[in-house]
Amino acid sequence: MRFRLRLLFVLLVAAPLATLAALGVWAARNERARGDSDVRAAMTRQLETVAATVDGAMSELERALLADTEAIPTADADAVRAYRRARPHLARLLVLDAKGRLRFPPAADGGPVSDDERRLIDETRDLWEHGALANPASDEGRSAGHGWLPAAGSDGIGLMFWRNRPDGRRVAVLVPSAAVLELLVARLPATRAAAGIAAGTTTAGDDRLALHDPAGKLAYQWGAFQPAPRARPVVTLALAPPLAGWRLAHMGPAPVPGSATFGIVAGLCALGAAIAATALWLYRENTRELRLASQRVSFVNQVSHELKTPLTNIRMYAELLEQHVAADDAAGRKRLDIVVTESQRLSRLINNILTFSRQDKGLVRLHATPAVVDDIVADVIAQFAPGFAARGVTVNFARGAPARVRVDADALAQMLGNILGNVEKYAPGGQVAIATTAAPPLTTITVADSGPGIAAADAERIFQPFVRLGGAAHEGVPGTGIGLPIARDLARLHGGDLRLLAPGTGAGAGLPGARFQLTLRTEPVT
Amino acid sequence: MRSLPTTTQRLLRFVTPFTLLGLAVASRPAGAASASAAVRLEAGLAQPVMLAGQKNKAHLRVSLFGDKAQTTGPRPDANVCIAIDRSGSMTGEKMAAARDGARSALAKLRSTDYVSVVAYDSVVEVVVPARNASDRAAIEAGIAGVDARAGTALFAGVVKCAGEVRKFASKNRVNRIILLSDGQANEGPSSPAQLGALGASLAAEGISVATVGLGVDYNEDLMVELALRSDGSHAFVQHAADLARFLDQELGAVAAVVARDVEVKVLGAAGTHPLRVLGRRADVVGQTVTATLGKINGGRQHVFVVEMDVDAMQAGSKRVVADIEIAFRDLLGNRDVTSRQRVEAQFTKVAREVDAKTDPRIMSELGMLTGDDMTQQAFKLRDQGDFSGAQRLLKQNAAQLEATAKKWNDKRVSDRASRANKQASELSPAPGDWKVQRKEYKKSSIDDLLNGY
Repeated sequence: MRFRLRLLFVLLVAAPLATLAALGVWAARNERARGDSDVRAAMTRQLETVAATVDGAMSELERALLADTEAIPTADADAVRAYRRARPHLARLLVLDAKGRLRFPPAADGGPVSDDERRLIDETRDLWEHGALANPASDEGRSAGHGWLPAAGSDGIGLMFWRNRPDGRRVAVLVPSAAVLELLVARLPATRAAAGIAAGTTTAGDDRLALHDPAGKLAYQWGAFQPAPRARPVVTLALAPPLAGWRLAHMGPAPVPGSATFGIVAGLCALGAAIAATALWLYRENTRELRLASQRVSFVNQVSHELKTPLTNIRMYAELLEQHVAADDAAGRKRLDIVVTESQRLSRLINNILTFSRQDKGLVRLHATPAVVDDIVADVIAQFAPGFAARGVTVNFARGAPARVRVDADALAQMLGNILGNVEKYAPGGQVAIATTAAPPLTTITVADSGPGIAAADAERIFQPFVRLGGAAHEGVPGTGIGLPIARDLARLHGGDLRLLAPGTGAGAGLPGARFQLTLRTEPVT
Repeated sequence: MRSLPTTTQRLLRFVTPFTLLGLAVASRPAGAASASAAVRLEAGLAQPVMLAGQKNKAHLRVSLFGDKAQTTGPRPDANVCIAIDRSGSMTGEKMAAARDGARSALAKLRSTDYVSVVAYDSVVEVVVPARNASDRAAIEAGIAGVDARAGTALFAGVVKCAGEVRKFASKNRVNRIILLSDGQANEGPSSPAQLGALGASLAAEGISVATVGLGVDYNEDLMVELALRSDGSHAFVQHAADLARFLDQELGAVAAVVARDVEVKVLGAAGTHPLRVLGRRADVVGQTVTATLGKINGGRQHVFVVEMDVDAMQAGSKRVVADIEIAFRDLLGNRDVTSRQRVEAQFTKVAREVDAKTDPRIMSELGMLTGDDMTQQAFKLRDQGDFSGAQRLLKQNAAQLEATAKKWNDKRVSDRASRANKQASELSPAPGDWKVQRKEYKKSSIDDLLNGY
């Protein structure tokens, strides 16, 4: 009982906790995944802001180059050089005529060129001779008349800006990767100084962002965060043309399992503790009540035991006294009969209580001894005779088990007493038909009365302890509700059973009331 | 070029009286240039008299001289950014020296100067954003916070420093970055060509970079190229304690700058063919040679020589060899100045006359510049591991310099000769020694190039 109770409580606590834990883990995982993607989204937005800065710088460069390539006088090589000299960003400048021939530096025209110009011609020959610059028609910038091309140089991949002028000439400017980077580094933030004067310039926060060139090399990085050596970027963002191939990277700090998980775990722990505390409290309450109940039962047992001895004495002396009462003293005999009957009733009650409590502890043992069932039944009927007489119950006993068999006489008396006790209570002024039949090794005793009977629906309930049926017939009738259960248990211990028969079946079928059939296994005595 | 003949004619009329004297230097600065100009231009031929009837090789010397007399006045304001390498190798003494150096540089500045400090490792921190130099306590606090870390994003450090300089950049200030590094640039662009291009880009904005190599592990090619192309200066500081002295000098040089954005054009006349330029990086396009200088210091002379072919001429004829134009910003007068000079040559059949008119000073300088060229070649050989070849070339150089010194009796050349001799004898086959020697040689040659004589 206690073990089952504990198991129940463990389940009661463990099952919801396990469910909640599973839910919590699931939720936490979800939360983390969402948090992770939130952080990544924020990082991507940060990179997009940087990319916008880069785009702005490139647009500015493009505007400057547009203005320069518009304004530059291209007719005369010396004029080009003079214009170029004060503008080092135009140091690598090409002019092509409408037919795509190189006009500046004027190598093809046989004009003098400097060493740097000669180098530029050789470096970009592929582009203007047959390549993209010779015919940038496929370029999306054709309608605008200007655009960018990638240009591989000795120091990495740079850019070639070109524009078509109204005079039919195409001016192109090579921007080496170092020049692109000089422009970008100047625009991108520096790192916030740990010490020193608060900078009025743009500075980065406690993270680390990086710019990689098309070769994948780290070109510039900023931010106070120190990523692990060879750490992979958390998110990257490819830059838009003309900086195709360049890449921004967010190096962290990477998102860490957030406080949400901690919250869930903490909530789960708190909830588990609450459930456990409630369960413990319930368990203690329950065991306390059980303890109290068992104390009460044992108290009743004690009392019953204590009552048994004086009751036996009362019965014994009442029966002794019966012999001394004059035969004509009807009044006195009647009073004495009442004493005897009532003490017998009390004795049965006490026996039932003691049997019940022993049953509870599994201590009921039957002791079969040779006896005649009919005799025992007759004795019990005799005990009830005064009661039946007082209530106007007539008894009809049909003997059918005269043989000596092995039977526990006390148990049989108790079973039959409990059945007849009900008859006495519920069928006053009626009849009771008792019949025994022997079919070795079984002996059957049928008790039928003319009382109100028991509904078929209650046929099993009446054998459960403490069940007392409602209804007018039972109103005001005292009882404990343990008589029939004890009778059935004893019958089953005796290798038989006690059943409620449907009305109109078996012996005494004429009677309309309750009809019990008690079957016992009675080994014949050889 | 089309306008040249008319200009030439006009100038010819102007200079005729002087050319009768047979002088190579035909005129004093003409036009806007005056005696009070911050930069004096001098141009002349090593041999102003050439043999007639044959092709001649001519050496045209151009000299720019910063007027020392004018440096006694108030120096122009300085706008300086100090870029400090804080890579891991700077840990300890070098880092402390860099901080001390920056502090002592700060002490040299006036309250009208501007200063900023940038520290770079893998990332770049603007430790002291550009501000007035009078804010001394705040600037020193910023410098004190610079400690060693890891990585060397040298390119980005310079770019960020330039950003700080730009905030207060002005034509009338000396805009300068002082770059301290003890190592190799290992993040971002890191080739001498890329840093050189950055230097050229900064020079165009009027910002020059003084590079300071600390210890013996820095990349001198890169540092020298950056300094050269930005018209800055370079120093090799082997011992941390020397740094403060260099910075003092450098700030002194800042103070002594008299002109900025100097452009020199040598316009060769018809029949001349410029071949190469010794002593300075210059563009040679057809008959035009263009050289630019970011700044000229007071008391310093910048010299380069244009080597050219001159077509055969008839005896007795006198003809223009080149016109030289110079334009610059006069920092002391706060104005743009241009001036122009014509160089002529005379042709004779008498070889004796040629020798008699040969200019010993120019021949000496030509010898020195040729010697520099040979020294560079010797470095290249030594870099390639050809120790004996390099040593042979240095000895040959020393011998040539000695001969030149003897012939023209010039102490500067004999100093060079002894230096070349010393270099030849000291040249060590040990790679460790070469690392140090290379830096010293590089430094002396860039000093000659950048700071003149």
